[in-house]
Amino acid sequence: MIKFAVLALLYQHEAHGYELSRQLGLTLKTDRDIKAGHVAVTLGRLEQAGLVEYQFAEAEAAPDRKVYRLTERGLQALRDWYLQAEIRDYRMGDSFYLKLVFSLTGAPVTPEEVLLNRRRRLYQELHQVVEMQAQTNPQTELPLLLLLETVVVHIEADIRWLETCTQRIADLKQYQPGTPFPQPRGRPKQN
Amino acid sequence: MIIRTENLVKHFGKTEVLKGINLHVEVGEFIAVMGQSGSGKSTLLHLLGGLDRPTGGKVWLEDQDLSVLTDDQLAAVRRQRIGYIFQIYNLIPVIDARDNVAMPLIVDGVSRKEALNRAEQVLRMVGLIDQSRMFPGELSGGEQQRIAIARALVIEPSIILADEPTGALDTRTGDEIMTLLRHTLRQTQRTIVVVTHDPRIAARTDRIITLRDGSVEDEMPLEHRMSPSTVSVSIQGETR
Repeated sequence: MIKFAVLALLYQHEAHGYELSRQLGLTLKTDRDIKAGHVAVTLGRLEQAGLVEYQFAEAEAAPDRKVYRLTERGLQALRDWYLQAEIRDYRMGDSFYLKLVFSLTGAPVTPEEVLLNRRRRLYQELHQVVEMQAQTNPQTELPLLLLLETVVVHIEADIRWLETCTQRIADLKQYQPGTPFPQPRGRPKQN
Repeated sequence: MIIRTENLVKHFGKTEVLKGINLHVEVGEFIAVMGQSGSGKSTLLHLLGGLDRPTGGKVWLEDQDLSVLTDDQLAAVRRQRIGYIFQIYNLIPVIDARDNVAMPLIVDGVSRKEALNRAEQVLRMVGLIDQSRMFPGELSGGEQQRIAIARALVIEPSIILADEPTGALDTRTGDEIMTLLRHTLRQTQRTIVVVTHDPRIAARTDRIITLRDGSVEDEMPLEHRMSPSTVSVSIQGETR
């Protein structure tokens, strides 16, 4: 992911590694530092892949500073990345899904308890995210606000799904999974 | 304790809408009542606010048992101690914002001059003093709801009851209204009960009471920590 963030910034203007790591932090408003070393390693790989190139800047304090810029191939890769639509991975089998299914087929807790606990947790998270959002300044912290908004709508979707499960709990409890046939042991009998 | 209900039951004909609700609301609490349509949440709000009478059980507002009051006494409690906010603002279209806000005081016998003074104070609090001479039709939905909040506040009520206060507004304006209600609560030490079906709105309060089929299904206090565990601002990983 950082690879494309670096390419995106280099499209805006050429820069050296340290400048890039600072700019990433400022643009994305991240609370964690983007390590300059991490950026340097990424730049090295991008350079090997022919996506960026550099020349040495004539700076008095740091005469060996490499100033990077995008190559044609880098520009193409960046353009492809921007226009490639991303979709979340919806994997059946996350931990909550497993809890719900097994609680329906026989468990030391009821499916209602599983749903209720999940619901409480989701509301707790939603509470914290919307309160944080309310304290976020849209002028100076827009990236954070956008990130929080995506979290909000995903929690809302999870709550809606949970609500559907709760309403259909009587139906869900009817679920009867098939049972596996016992496997015959040993070699098949010869006729 | 500002509001307490004891085994509150409400029937409409043969339909049992509320099936024995026991509720405690403390002074200064911001509470959401949630539930699907038909769960009984609006009916509960009407009973809390004395807009309707229960089939069985009791509602206490502070130390007052509402069930023993005559209709006139109940009307006085509604006028003097309860501020209402509705989804569709219910402003009077032919008078300006300031007169709308002053109206509950004038109805209650406060002099017009005093009523207008107090109306201006609360309009300043909700950030609409500059619009005080405008008519409801000249204001946006969010502004009209802020006028309605000012009207609810002007009587200095013990409690504010809000029925889907953001239901007619877009998400951003709805968020602003919730921020204003939260701010109001802090400034005036009021208690607010909001009925909503919107998780995002409910999540802005301190406690969510969920009704299902006329009974309390769950009560959850919401604990405020600064940093939600789902949010990690990082460009390398997923956000959730």
